[in-house]
Amino acid sequence: MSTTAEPVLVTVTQIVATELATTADAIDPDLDLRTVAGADSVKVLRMIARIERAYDIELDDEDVFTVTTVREVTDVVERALAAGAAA
Amino acid sequence: MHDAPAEVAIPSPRAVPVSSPAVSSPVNLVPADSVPADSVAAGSTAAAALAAGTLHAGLATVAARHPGLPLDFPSAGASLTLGELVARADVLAAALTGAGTGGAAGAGVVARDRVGVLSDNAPDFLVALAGVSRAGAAACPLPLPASTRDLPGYAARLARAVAVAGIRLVLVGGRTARMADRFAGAFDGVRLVRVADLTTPAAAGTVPATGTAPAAAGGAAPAGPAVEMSPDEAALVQFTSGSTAAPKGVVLTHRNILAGLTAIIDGVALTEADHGGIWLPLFHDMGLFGTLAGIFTGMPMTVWSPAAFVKDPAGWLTDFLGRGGSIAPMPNFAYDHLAEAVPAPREAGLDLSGWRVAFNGAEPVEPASVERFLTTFTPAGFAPAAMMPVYGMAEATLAVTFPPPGRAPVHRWVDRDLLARDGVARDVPAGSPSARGLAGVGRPVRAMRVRIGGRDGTGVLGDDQVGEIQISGDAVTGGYLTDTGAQPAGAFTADGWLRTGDLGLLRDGELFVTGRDKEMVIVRGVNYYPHDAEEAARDVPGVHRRRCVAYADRSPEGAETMAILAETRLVDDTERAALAAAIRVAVTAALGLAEIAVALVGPDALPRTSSGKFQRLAAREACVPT
Repeated sequence: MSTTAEPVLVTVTQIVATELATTADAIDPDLDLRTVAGADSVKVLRMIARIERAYDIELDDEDVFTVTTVREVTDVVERALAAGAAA
Repeated sequence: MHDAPAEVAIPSPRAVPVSSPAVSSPVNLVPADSVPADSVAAGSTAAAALAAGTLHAGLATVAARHPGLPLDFPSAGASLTLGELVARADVLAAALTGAGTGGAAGAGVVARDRVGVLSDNAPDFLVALAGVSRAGAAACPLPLPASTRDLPGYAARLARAVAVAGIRLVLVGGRTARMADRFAGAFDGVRLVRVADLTTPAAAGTVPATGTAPAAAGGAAPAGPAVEMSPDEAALVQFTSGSTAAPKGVVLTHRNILAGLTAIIDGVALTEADHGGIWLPLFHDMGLFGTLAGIFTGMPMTVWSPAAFVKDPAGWLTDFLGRGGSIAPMPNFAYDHLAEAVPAPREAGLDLSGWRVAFNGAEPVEPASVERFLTTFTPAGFAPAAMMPVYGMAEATLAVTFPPPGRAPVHRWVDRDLLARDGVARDVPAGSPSARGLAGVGRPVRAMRVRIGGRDGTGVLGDDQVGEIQISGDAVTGGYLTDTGAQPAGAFTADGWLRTGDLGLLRDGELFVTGRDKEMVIVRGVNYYPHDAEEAARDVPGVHRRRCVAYADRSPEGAETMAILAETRLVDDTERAALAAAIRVAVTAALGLAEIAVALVGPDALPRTSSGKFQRLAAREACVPT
């Protein structure tokens, strides 16, 4: 994980924690979100919407639906940011 | 992503007989009142379209009058006119039947075939629907996955429905086409072909020669005449009800559909001055027939993706109102989301006075949700009478009962215990400890009849007695497609009424839905079955002797969930937590449902019948999770 990527992970973790009504330190970046009670598809979509607003990006539904952990969400965001920067 | 058509080639397109057994209509429906076309304003576009006899002819009738009717799909980044949609459908029909190339080529679709339609909310969905209808076949809208994390599981579920319907060609559209590339191999002997490849001259010219449907669309090839079909032929097969283990398709004829659209258009007096907004999936009955009712009326339609609404309910509402939206259907949960997302609509500058019909259906209507929505939005101009709790189902095309226009929602408060124990509704004061609220969902729509039958399928009950809701009428299906070819046991009464499996009561002609007879969970308008959850959970390592029971439950917040009780010998807390998580993952993967509550119990804790079958309802009552 590069140093520039850390803030994305931190931000994403905070957003996930907020949506799940917990604290960031309770969210393991490698936790499979499917195992979390209450992390239903609506909450996941809401998380994505918050992340999109935070970074002013639009994530591909297909990418979004494939992720299972906070770290994977972070990867998707970083790819989108990189693509935006390259465009 | 490559651009070749997503499909699985089979040795010969006609190697398997296409015409699977015709739908047997086991019953002759009691003839309902005929549907006079003039039930809708005489001379209107809707009246002409509804009299056209078939789905595609109805669309063509509207297109002839309103070729420029705008159909917007903001989430798909697409918009087109109805004239363009019908023209594309004509080209598709020709490509499907080979008519565009003199019959020498084509996708090999013949009359009475069943053709799958797999598309997100994009123009391709409606093009495919109309094109398949015009080709004389029945369109089978196929559900999209709730998530793509488990495409193999999704594809396996889909494959069962595809097999039951005898589908050998699936038209994929919109952005779904790309996803379909990834599971096309799951369908044995089924071709997946992109709508675009059959409707776009440029694309058609680049279709590889092997393994794809011949590019019959070929430029401006004449569409040829529509295949003449009787209104009593199947036009659509809906797979939204039935468990994934034993999928069943609701067969709707052209006559069913036109009667169903008539009921909707007549029931809320849709006019060309309305503007419809839909974000429900088009593969869902409410999304599909809500959209078609709008188009048949000749009113502009905007169709978003479900994700667009769920991600940003406030943004959706602003967009809907900004477009002049006046009609929108959605399930109960969505009204909660709107009230939560926009707590102060007037301060936000929203004016809801133009939203004249807010259908609330597809899942149980909660009086508390309705009250909260009205409290939040009436200060911003929302008329209470616009909130319309309705009752409907795929078996009825869509609508069964609507409240009378201009009436604010009606709730009854009845004694909860008496209702549950004796099946009798006795009014009690609102707010009393034993009060249970029931939302009035109105009276039967045009050409629909509703009665309350005994729960064993015999007899008819009187007012205020809880029994099974049974329906009959022109829009009601004549039967199901199943894997055995036989009708599901007890689907119809002896005198031909459809048994809905829902429980309710009538009072003075108004229907109140009280529950469900069948064990089923409805989450955001989608039905899930405990049996399917048990199948997925019982093989998870750590489950004692594959013993588990699933049942419909409610979360502390009141939302429906699938509860799973599993026996285990594990005692270590960490191991038990891991087992619960593993069960959750397994069930989510199998059902595409995340609303799952897992509880573990000790060995032999689950109640069983004398034959060794687990009793779901008894387990729910008796089992205290340890």
